[in-house]
Amino acid sequence: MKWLDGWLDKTTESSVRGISQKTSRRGFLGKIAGVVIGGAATVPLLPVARSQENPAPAEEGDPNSCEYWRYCAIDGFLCGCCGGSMNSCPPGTEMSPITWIGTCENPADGKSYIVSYNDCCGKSSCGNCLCQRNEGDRPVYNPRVSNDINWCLGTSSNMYHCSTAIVIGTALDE
Amino acid sequence: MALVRLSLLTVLLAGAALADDERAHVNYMLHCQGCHLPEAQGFEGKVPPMKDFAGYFLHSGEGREFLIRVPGVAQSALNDGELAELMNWLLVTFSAEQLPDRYVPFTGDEVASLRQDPVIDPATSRELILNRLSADIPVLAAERQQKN
Repeated sequence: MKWLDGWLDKTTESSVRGISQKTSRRGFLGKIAGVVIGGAATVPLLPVARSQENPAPAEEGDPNSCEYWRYCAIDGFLCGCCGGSMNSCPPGTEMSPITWIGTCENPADGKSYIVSYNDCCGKSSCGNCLCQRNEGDRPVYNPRVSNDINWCLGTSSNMYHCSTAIVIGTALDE
Repeated sequence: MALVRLSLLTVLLAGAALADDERAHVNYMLHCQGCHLPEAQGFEGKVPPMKDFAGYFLHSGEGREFLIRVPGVAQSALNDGELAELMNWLLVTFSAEQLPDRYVPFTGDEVASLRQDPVIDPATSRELILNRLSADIPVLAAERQQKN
């Protein structure tokens, strides 16, 4: 059986040497890391509704404070104080796709951005960080620009929990 | 020199068209997207889709009028010119394939007169118009049959 051992040794050695000559260990590690990190980025680890922002505006201020620039036309509880963030819903709630949209000026760069106030729905009112700034808010007979409406439309439950403020575009100069 | 002037004019015109598209898109975001969603896909049972669909309406006169007479358009805060620009952008951006071969864009004047007379019951009017259009557009007829 010695011949078999010798044959196995030689074949293994030559094939492993072949692989190590043709590939780099860094390349292999890079690919593995890509798979691991890429997987984490594409498959969220937590059951939280997330939004990617485009454009990403310059930032200053505290997103859990009602004074924060994006909340200029909000009326509700800030999701950042309810287990979510300014652009994601707390676990156990669902982000309403149907929403109301306005513009706010960002003090960090002086530009006006288009902000979508998607509500998070499916749990009773959060109760933390009530914020009512209502700039540009219009009466309910003008429903598209009224924040007094329960915007939990298109979700499996219409129970309102909290509001996000997601930047979806740059407004034009008036 | 004429050539330079011509290319300068082309650049200027292209720039103007680009700015208008951007304004139309911003107006879409501010006045339509909240309900019709970013790709104009609508929401089954609640908000009618415009994506790969709105262009069908331009195959008949009443369909063309309907697009401006629906409450969301007719009663919009936009002025007639902005509204025409937005509708033309929307049709080409989201539903170019469904447009008729001889598609004529909306003008501000046309929008101004049509929006004076908003439809009272848009869901019923929509069904009637689409039923009539289906007789002439087999693809639309098939699409609607599949849905029902």
